[in-house]
Amino acid sequence: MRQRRGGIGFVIFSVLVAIMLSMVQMPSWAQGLRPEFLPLVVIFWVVTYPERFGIGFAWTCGLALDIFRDGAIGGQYALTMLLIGFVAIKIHQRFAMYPVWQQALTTFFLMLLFQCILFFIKGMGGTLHEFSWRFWATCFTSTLAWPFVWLFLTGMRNRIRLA
Amino acid sequence: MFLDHRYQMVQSLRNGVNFFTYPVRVVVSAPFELGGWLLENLATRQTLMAENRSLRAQNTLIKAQLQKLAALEVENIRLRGLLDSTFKIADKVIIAEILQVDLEPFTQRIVINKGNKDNSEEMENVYEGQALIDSEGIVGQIVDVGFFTSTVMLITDPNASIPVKVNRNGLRAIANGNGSVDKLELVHIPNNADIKPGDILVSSGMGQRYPSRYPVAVVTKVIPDPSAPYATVYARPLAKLSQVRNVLLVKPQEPNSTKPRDITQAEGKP
Repeated sequence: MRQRRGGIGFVIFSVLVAIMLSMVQMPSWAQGLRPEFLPLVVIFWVVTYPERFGIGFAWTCGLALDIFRDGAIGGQYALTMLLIGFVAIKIHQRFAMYPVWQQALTTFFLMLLFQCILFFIKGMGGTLHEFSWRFWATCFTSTLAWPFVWLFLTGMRNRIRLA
Repeated sequence: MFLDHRYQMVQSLRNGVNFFTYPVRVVVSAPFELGGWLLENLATRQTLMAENRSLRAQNTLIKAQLQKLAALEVENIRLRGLLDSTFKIADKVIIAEILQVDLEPFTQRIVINKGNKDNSEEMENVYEGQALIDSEGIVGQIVDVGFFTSTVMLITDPNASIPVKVNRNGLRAIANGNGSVDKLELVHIPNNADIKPGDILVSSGMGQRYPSRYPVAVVTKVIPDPSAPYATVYARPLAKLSQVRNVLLVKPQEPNSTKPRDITQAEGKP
């Protein structure tokens, strides 16, 4: 029981760090190149502990991102994360068997879905301002970031379990 | 439907949890501030002295210009008094600091460390629609006031527009942001309009949002297109939008409604 509590604390901590990473200021030439850390972290927890973290968890994290990202249409990330969480929980059995590079590839398609849904929401809400490749660039950078997120979170998870 | 329902709700949620988001934002911006602090503290004596010297020279220069400005302002008030028209005297300003955080990608918004909590004193007043300037020109306007922080939409935000006029001849235009930090687009400029690269654009004060006569941008490119109804005109914002640390919140004074005689008496001049 005590271990589980520590685990929950770490999950919340990792989500918070992901949100903070998504707020760190980047130079203007790097606009749109920032990996979306929060979906990656949420995908990780959902596929690792599908029985504990489901779409409710994903929705809550999305809502948190909504709150921090001023200028977004209210609820756009909550909805997007909900759908990402749903797909992730559907494929979690296969996902857990994949080697890391294949996980990254799967992540790419999940991120593509993420951006597609955002594209629709923003298009409908009239806040779609970017039509160039930059809008989709975050799918690629997020894919590249997956192995690092995976390594870090797996390492930390194992350590916490041992403790 | 789900989304529409929460269109306004998330904004109130944002304001409600400003208490919790503020520390997170401060933590995110801390390394940048630490960097600036280190840079300041590790500067050598020579650099500091050189900087001091140049600042002092600059100060003298600015003060000299200010003297002239004061005289001109008084003259302007008097002349306007003769015409019986109102005149806005100098605006009040509050200094605010920018928190180094990024918001929604592809929008040009920043967060400043002033909010509702500063509204207690009568002068310190932060409100929605308030304009921000830096030492060079207009930065943007406040779109959302929280308890500790406020969100500012820069003039380069894709949703932002600012009414301007060409300083040289008073030609009025509207400058729209287009999402890149160093470009504004002037819309509805006729092909034969008297505007050319190098023209300074100042705010015209129309629309009642931005105070008038603050510099906004300098025209960089004019592309007349005879086949289109309007020319394509680009301008570069004068405010250093990507590197500002401190900004000034401008609070326009109420229009001065006193009669010309009162003004001359107040100034102590015949």
